[in-house]
Amino acid sequence: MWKLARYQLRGRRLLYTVGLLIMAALTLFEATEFIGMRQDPAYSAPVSIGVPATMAICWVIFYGVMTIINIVTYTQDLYGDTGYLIFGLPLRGAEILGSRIIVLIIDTIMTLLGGMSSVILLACLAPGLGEQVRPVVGRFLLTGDYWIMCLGVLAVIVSFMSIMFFGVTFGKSLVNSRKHLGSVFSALVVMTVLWLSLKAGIWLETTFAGWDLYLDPWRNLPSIIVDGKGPIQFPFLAPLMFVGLGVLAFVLTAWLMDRKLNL
Amino acid sequence: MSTVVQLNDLTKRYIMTTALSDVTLDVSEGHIVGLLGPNGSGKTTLMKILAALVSPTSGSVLIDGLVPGVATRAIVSFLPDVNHLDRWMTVAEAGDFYADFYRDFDRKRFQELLNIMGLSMRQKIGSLSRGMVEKARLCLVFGRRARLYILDEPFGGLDPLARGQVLEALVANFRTDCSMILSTQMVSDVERFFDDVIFLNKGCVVLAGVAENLRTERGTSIEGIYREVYGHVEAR
Repeated sequence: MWKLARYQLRGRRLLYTVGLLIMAALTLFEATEFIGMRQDPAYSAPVSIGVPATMAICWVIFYGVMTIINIVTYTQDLYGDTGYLIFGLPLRGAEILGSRIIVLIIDTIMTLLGGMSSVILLACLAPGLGEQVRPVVGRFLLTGDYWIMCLGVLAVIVSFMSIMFFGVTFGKSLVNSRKHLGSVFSALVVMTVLWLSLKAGIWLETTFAGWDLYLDPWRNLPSIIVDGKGPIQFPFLAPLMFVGLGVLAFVLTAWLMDRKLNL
Repeated sequence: MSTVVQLNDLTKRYIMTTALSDVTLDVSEGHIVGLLGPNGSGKTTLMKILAALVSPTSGSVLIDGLVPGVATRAIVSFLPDVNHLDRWMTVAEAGDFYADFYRDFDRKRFQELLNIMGLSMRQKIGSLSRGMVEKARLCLVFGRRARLYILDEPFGGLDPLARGQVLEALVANFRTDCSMILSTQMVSDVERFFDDVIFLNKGCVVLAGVAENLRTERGTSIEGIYREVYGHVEAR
């Protein structure tokens, strides 16, 4: 599993290099705009926070591209010629799928660290900007709140990707090499599962509304996100159900790969 | 002499078609088997089932006594009829990949085969011609000391000279403790290497037997028998 993940990372080395160079260039470009800026009470923090917020959006785009490439290359393996190489290996379905999840986690960690590095680099190159932003962002980025939030988001993203992998594999196991028909099946499966999970999530949250099943560990969340109206609460049951669904999708996909593969 | 492959009433159905219907056959150790038939006769499906890439609908398949799966992939070396290597890989990286995942991959043998084929480790798969890719893929497949070799149209991109060179190299490297199933449309070039021949048509075995016996019984070459069986369309 680890060897296969390493091989997939090697295949994407050019993409990573280009992506990281673009992000570094963007960070430097943003920094040059604020070099020499001094802390000025007249310069409002919400304006300055726009800089790290822009960087965050860029990193989310970087992450989105990497995630899309992950699912596209998996689909290409299933429907294309390289599938003979990957699915012909003496590995169980769970190991092949696990390697994809490892790559996804590495992408996530790279994005989180990259995002933090961008903010730190911005603060070093443009100390004035750093002074403006620190009270709003600094206390959140370096606390457990940030990492707990990241773990939660990661769990939901991995579950979402597992459901995507299940949809693609299910489509392939039904119709052999008819790619377009398989894609339609895959899209239908993914949409049905997501729609059902949304309905089930709403039902769960409504049914257990009086039970106070919420998470509110976000005391340090920047006021710009929570609008300064006190700690924000996150629902607990619906994401938990979604993660459970992701685990189920992983198990079913691995089973389909082992027993019902039709390359 | 043990049996490497055993098929019993093997059937594969897709939603609209039946690719294989009640195929029963054995492949003995040390034998090179020619799997012949026109396009759409079920050769590739049969090979994919043996390579554990397609699941059968019914019937039984045993490779060295094992049901196709993770364990058999470790002892079956499959060459598909398309380029299955990633374009970004160099020949050396492809070798590393095989060595990482297949315990029976012999780097020394791989290097020897590359030398015979005139390939360099540094060449990138994406920059190779079709014939060169074909040679690299054959080196990888035969770099393994597998129990069963399955080759689907291995000479597609090769010129006649290279074809002869590759064939000689393959037969020289063929061991008596393994078996080979080879599908090709270039029957005349390879028929002298066949121990057994299986003729498939529309998913059914229409003729099978020891190559020499078939030649004697019918008084013609395997290519001649092919023309008789399929009506002189596909053979070259």
